[in-house]
Amino acid sequence: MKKQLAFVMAGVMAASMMLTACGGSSSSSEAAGSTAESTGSAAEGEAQGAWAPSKSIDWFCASSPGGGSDIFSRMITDIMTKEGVTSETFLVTNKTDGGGEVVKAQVSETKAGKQADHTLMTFNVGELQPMLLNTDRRIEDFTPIAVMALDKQLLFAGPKSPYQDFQSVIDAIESGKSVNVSGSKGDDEAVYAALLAEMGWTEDQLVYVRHDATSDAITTALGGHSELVIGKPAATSSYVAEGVEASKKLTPVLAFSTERFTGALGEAPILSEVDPNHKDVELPTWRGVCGPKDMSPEAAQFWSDALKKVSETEQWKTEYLEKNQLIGAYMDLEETKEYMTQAQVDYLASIGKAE
Amino acid sequence: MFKKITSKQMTPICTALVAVVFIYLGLTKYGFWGGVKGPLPGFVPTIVAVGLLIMSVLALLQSFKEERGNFPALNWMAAAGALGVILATFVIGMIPSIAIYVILWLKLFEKASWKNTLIVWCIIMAIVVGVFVLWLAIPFPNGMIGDMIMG
Amino acid sequence: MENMQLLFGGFETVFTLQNVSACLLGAVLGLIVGAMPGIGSLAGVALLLPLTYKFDATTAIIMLGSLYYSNMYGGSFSAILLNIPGDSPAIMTSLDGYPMATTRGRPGQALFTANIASFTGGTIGILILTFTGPALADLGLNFGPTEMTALLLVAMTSIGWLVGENPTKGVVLTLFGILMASIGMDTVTGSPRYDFGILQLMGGIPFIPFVIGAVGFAQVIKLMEDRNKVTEGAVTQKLTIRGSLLTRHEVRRLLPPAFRSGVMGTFVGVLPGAGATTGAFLGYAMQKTFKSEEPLGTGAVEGIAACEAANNAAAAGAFAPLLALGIPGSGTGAVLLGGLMMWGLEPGPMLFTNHSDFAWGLIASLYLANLLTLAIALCIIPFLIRILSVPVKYMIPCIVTVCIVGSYSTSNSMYGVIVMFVSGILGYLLDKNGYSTAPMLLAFVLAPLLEKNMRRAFTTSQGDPSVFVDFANHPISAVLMLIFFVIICVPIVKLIIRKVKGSKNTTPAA
Repeated sequence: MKKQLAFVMAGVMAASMMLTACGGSSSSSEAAGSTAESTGSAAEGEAQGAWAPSKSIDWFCASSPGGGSDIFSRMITDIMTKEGVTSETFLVTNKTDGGGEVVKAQVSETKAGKQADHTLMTFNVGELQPMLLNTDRRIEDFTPIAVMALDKQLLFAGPKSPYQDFQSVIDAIESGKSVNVSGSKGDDEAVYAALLAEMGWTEDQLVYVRHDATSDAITTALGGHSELVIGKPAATSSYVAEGVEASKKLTPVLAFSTERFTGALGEAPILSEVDPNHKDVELPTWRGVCGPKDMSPEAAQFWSDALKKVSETEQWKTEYLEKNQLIGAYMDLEETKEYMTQAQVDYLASIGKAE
Repeated sequence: MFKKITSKQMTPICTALVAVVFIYLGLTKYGFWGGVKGPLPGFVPTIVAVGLLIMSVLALLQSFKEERGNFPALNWMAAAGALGVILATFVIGMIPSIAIYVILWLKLFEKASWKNTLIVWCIIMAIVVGVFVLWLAIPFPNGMIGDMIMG
Repeated sequence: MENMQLLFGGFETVFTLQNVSACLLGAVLGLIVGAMPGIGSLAGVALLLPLTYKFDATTAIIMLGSLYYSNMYGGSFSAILLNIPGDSPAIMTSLDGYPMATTRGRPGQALFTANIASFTGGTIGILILTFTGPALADLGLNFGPTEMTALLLVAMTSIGWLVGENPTKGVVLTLFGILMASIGMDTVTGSPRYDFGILQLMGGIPFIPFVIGAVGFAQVIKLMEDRNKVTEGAVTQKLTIRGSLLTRHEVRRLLPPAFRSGVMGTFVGVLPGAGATTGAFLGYAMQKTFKSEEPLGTGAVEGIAACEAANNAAAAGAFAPLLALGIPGSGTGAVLLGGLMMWGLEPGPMLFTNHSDFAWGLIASLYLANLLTLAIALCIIPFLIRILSVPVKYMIPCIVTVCIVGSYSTSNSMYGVIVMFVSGILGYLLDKNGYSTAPMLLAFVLAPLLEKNMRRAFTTSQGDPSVFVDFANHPISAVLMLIFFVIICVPIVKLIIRKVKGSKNTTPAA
């Protein structure tokens, strides 16, 4: 019996391994055994093209399927496959435990080696801020690889709101009233905080009602349960377009930018236009990619170049940027590191956690 | 009144302890009421925990009238099996662990015939591998050994 | 009857060979995925989304619609046959479905009831959606945080009907469930609470593994001791379609709750963030106030019908805000929205105007999907119920495996499996000590919604509690609060009257 059992066990092991290999399942990327293959510094100077993926790539996304980060991850891996950046497969894995902190820990701590060079993760401002707020992990614990796109917000008035332009909001608050603004968590709230700082208001004068997603915040505003709503163009522009029924229309009242948007959103003035005594409030949010801290420079360079290629494709421009009304802003390794580090410094300062 | 403490008493005692922890943290760490801000993160948990504490005490008083429950050791075998799979997953990965578990369970514990064991085994593996692994592409963990082989 | 005309236009779009087969394929796949515990409709639709890329836009949308829809059917299968709810709305189905399938030995009828009720509820939902169209969504807009708070308070009181014979224990577990749900990120301030410094707890206790454990895994542990006994009343019926048919009398018992729940469920589906789980739960609670031939919870036809109809109606109702406003009512809706956007459609207030052929095509495909799913589901019932004739000792490793694999799949992590394991042991211990876990699970779903809305309402009102009863500005909320107080006060007043009257002769039971 033992013999038979051993035989069956061996068979199962073999079968499941074959299946995992050809069936497109994946290897979990918990600190893989380090085969000190690509960690060597031999090829450092002439890194470009020296390294190429040699196994399937684990691409992690800290939010659920269907959300903004997920679409971003899948769009990039799709283009990379189509463009023939590598013939290896990309395995996009959504891991949301611990509000996404678990997967950030896992990626950042992946030990140097083959696995580290084949691990990437979607990293947005919405990933960075909660991490800084709630954990001791910092951007230095990752290898920043690229920033791919920038996004800016606008302030809208709901259809039932008594304030249909920003001047009337200022007047109301100055006359002692309090105004509600609904919005999503994370970066939208950061813009709200920046607006408060610029206007010199308190949280009780302009009250932020936090929602789980911009769509929830819009529902609240359309129903007249909040007066204003903060959102990005992709989520809001369909409520501004020509021909929308008056009861479902949002009016853009302020653009969080240094210049006006185009199209219907261009209606919204920037802050310096409303009141020349104030500076424009702009806090662009970004979508980017990071790797483990221990990723080899060669691999980082490879991925940086691959993402540059993606950012230049027609598919990226029309099917991602244009459709979601984002601003294409590819940054290389150096720029990305600088940009993300600066974002960290700014955010830590804003929450009084400066280091 | 002073019978031996059994699981009947342990349950309300445990929920009462949970309640005390939640009240303590709610009041000291997370905040209760913030003026114009309304309720703070600790508000609802603290109120609910106070309710739980009171109800747990009531349940404790009631529990002395109840008979003690019995927990046949056999029942824990199912839990032990699952625990075995969980622990083995960290070493050899989830799919092999399940494959081995099903065979060992049926053969050694239930003393089933080879024929029945294999039929059940095939059905389980067909569902797990066919649906979850191949079709839905769920990335099951490979465990330490699997990662070493996969590099 | 402009809507009818547009709907017929929609039917014309749908009835091509390609579209009907896409719909059929979607229905089959959705059923299978829905029946897998842990996958649920959200992950199911997300995982199957890439399949639709191979088709043209209309076909793809039709397939997505039927996928989404049939997923709701599948969830009840494992709930009824294995007592493992496939998704959260199915918790309610398992309360009556599992006893009906096992102790009453009528699994075929239980599945049949669930499917007919789903069909009825779904049809009502789609009909309401057809005739009111975008107007239905406007109704949902009237429910802001204040109104939702009041509504959820009313909903919470109905947990009282579920606590079973020992109210003290029922309340203990309800409150315990609320505390468990409060672990993790506080959505109103975005800061973690009660995470005890554990990284995983920061994201809270995942619901699906919690349910799989507390209901399904606990069940396996319990099954161990009498696994070799021949279960009383084990499958007595014939394992054929004929043997699974309901009697005329049973159909008559099924329809009234299905109609009531269908209408109610549709409106719950329209409300922001309420979803199918709340729908199923309210449907069941509502049935408690009506007469059922057998007591609910012992395998009553009415119980299965009430929650299954509500859950499918809610799934249809959720399409109203999705199509009319571009606002997804649930996580699954959000994935569906992502799917629509990939096809170049811009869901939003303009969808019915700009892409009316598409919107009505989707609604028409819901009719078709509803019908097809029913047909498929009925055909596979005879095969499904064979599961129950498998000896329990062979089922145990199967269920353990499904629990582990399913709970892993919800978040692709071992944390889910550990949550499942711990809550399984907890569920077993609680059950042995006479605590029923249903109130805990429902409190776990509803309490966070209530807390979130209540705190948003307070933020908006600057900490002023009077908004909830402010007739001038929040009439809906005020009326609901009134209902809430009546529900709370009536039993207390009744109790006092009974005490005063009864103190002379008998002492009232505790």
